[in-house]
Amino acid sequence: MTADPVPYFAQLVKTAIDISEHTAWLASPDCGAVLVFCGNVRQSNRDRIVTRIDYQAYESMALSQLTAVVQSLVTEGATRALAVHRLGMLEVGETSVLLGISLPHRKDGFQLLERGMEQIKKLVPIWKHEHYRDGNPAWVEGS
Amino acid sequence: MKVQVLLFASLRDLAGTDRITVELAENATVRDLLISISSQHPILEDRVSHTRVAVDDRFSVPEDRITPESELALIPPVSGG
Repeated sequence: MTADPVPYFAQLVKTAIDISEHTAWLASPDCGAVLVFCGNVRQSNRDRIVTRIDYQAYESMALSQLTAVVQSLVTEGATRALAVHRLGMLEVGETSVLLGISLPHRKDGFQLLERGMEQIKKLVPIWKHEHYRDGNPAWVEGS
Repeated sequence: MKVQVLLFASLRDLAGTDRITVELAENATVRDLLISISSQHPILEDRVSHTRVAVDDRFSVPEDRITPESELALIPPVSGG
């Protein structure tokens, strides 16, 4: 008999996020619901045409904060939870963040996933440096 | 004591460096650190009030004590996701 794996997982990556691989990790015989959110680079922001975004992080803290977020999602009811954030230069359409959870039933999953994303956007020290079709790049900072 | 403070994102661009040195009294707190940054690095003064301080990879509160071994970072409002 093997021990249960740690039910949460966080990672910072500098290459494309493999959505299928991470979705498969979330699957469990006990879980009827697997919810995955992917955040992708959008081609416009605040009326400007975005061409690329450079994601930079305080890496050691970002990883510990991201781990704390997925750990809290398990504490709050997810059977498994994972978060992967990409760093470096991303083109429009590429996935910058993946947050996924699995749980027996879908009912509470959507709110849990949303709560996790809110925590990521508030607590994980990662910053976007947006590049535009016209003009100089600019840092995007949250509120 | 002298401590180094890591800078990120717009603060790094503003200061033109990825870390600054700050002179602090022994037993200084995070609140003291922010006051000292404003006086010793005035280019950052206007941003300090919108910036959190991380101590050893954790967000701090103003009363937290700083030691010479602490890893310190100024965290402007984050925008990941």
